[in-house]
Amino acid sequence: MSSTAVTEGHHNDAGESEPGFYGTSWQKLMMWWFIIGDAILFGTFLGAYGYARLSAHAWPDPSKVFSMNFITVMTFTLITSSATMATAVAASRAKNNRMAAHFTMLTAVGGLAFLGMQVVEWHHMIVEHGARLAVGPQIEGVPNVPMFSAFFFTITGFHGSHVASGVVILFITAINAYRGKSGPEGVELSGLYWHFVDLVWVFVFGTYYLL
Amino acid sequence: MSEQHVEHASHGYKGYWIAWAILLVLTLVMINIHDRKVLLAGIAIKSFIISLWFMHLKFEKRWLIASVGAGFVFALLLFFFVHFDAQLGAL
Repeated sequence: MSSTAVTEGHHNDAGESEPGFYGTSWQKLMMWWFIIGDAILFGTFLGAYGYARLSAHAWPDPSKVFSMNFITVMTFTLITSSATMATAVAASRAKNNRMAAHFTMLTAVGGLAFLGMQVVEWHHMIVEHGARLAVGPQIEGVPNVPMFSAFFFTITGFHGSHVASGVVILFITAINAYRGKSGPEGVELSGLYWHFVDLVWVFVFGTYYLL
Repeated sequence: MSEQHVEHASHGYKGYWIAWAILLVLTLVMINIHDRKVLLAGIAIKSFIISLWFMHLKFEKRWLIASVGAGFVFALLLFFFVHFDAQLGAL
């Protein structure tokens, strides 16, 4: 009663209002701040990568190391899973629990597909190109730069681990939604995390594979 | 308040799939046009679509937008400090 700013925030499934922080629920606020912290982590990775690349005498042309068509399919998969996630969040807000669960599950499957392709990608790098964490890919006519491998495995590895944990979170959210235990906020929070994973990939894809 | 939220949610589905199509087209443009400016513009537009539209930042409270925006700008600075060097001709 005394503070409308606190009580007017979010409503959970039961319709109870939960105390929030200036009209935003704590859960959402903390998710956003976690995302900011994570964004800074990836910012430092990409900044370090930029520095290493600028100070290197030579740098392999990514299109000669990777199959760009394959990377494009990976990117499409992740973007599509982001769109299904957004649909799940909208369905969940519109109280369509079943549709929300279906689309969350679809998103998780998309994430799994992405992970599978990343395994293929790593296998390609390690087995066919002989790359290791500190050994560059060995390809004819392409400079062997250890840093190229180091940043490839670190950046895509960290991103991949985010995808993997995201897939677990999505499966749990989907199962909870099927059982009617996950309300709009639960779906929305896992959605925020999933979109962030997609957001990071935009930068990784743009700066590591294309630049 | 809550009515406003429901309203934002219900205009949903179609808009997200339009955003999806735009993201796919932008990806194709970025891959096929080998130009750094196009690439950076593509990254910028894609990240705005994802954060403002998919993550609903556009519909959040202004203070939340400001605090998240400040964090993202800081994260971007980490990358772009180096990029300025690249612009100076080192790359």
